[in-house]
Amino acid sequence: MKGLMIKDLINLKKQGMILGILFLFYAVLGIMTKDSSMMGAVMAVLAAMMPVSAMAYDEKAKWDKYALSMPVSRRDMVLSKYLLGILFAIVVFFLNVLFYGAVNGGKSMTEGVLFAGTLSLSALVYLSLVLPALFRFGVEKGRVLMMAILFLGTGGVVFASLHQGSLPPMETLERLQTLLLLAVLVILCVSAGLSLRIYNRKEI
Amino acid sequence: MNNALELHELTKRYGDFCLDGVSLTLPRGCIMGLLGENGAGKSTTIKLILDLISSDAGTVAVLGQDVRGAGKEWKEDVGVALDESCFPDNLKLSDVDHIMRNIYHRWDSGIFMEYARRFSLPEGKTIKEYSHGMQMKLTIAVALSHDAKLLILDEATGGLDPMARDELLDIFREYVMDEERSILLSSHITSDLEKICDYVTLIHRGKILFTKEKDELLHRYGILKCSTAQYEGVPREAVIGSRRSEFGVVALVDRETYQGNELVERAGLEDIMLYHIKEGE
Repeated sequence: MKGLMIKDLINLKKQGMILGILFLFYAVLGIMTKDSSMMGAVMAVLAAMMPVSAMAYDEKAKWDKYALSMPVSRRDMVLSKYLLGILFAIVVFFLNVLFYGAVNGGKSMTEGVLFAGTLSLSALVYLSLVLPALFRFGVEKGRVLMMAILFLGTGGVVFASLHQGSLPPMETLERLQTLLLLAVLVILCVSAGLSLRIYNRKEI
Repeated sequence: MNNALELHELTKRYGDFCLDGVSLTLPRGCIMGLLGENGAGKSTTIKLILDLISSDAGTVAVLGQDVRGAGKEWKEDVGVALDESCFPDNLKLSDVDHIMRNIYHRWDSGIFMEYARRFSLPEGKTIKEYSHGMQMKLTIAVALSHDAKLLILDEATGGLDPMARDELLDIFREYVMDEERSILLSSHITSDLEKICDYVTLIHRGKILFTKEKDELLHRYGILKCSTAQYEGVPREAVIGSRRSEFGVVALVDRETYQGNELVERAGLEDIMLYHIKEGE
């Protein structure tokens, strides 16, 4: 498992550069507009895309059949991608909290944590939706589905905010945060279970 | 447990292809060549051994252990090189070393780097910049660097020039010298297999035509060149396959059943393969 994660991180190193440039660009934009939401959203999307990119690299190299000839189980293959997603979600969470603090001069950090947390959790929910499909169809074929889920997701948020006027009040979110976190964990587990079932049956 | 690999009645059905009841035994310390033309079922057999695809019937035992549902530990003892390099493009030699150190318990960076030097694999370049031959050498170096008891090499020498292939054959010979380690080598390059194999298994259209000791094969079969008239007198059960030309008949005969006076020349593995397959058709 560790070897697989190392392989993915080395593979994604190049993307890290692009990530850094985007980070700088949106950081400057955010500081100038005193708004961290754009930066937050972009970072969350990038976090969600990392495991997908890693899978695309694997697919291109036909890595899976080779990896499975090593002491690597199908479970390791599946879980390493989820772990990678969680890892990036956590990194992006801290970056977003820091950035929120920087833009808002360190005020209302609870809000910052909630804001960053919601974004990272959304990224994980998105991953939970797409990963089983990607394990089933591959990244190349799953791309359309991935985009569809992304658009439906953003569309849903926009629709909800139009109808409700704004996000739920902070107090509600605050009260719900433990519940939200648990819900996302359950979704992740269900998704990982499903991916594993799919991958176990896959002829590599 | 004296066998490195035992396949028993291994069967896999695809739409228009069927690997049909493949059985073979590779004793410890030996090299077996899996011979057959493209699409004969060599890669399918190897994928079944490695549990990459599920079998419809049959069993696979590696180093005495039935490997179906046996977890992943048994693969510590197996070194694999497939017919293409499956490393992601961005990796360098040191990255491969780093990754494998975290995958194989018995990974030996020293041995790996030694093979890398022997194969002249450049340290500074990414795998993308490697030639096809270098990529294949890299996967072979990986297969050799974790003290595997069984090497499974699927067409791994196919893309290499004769010099490189010869060097690799020497390395494979060295590898099995301790009589504990074994190699299953699939190839359609008969000259390679003839050089190093102890056993040869010929597979054709998903079926095994024979699995025998190489020396026995070379001893048993011979090439008979004679006129059409002479050929009429040759008992059919002694003939494995034949080819007619304007000068007469060339046939692969079984020396055990052929008792004629005509000169029977030594048959190479290629002749043995070709005539067996022709006869099968």
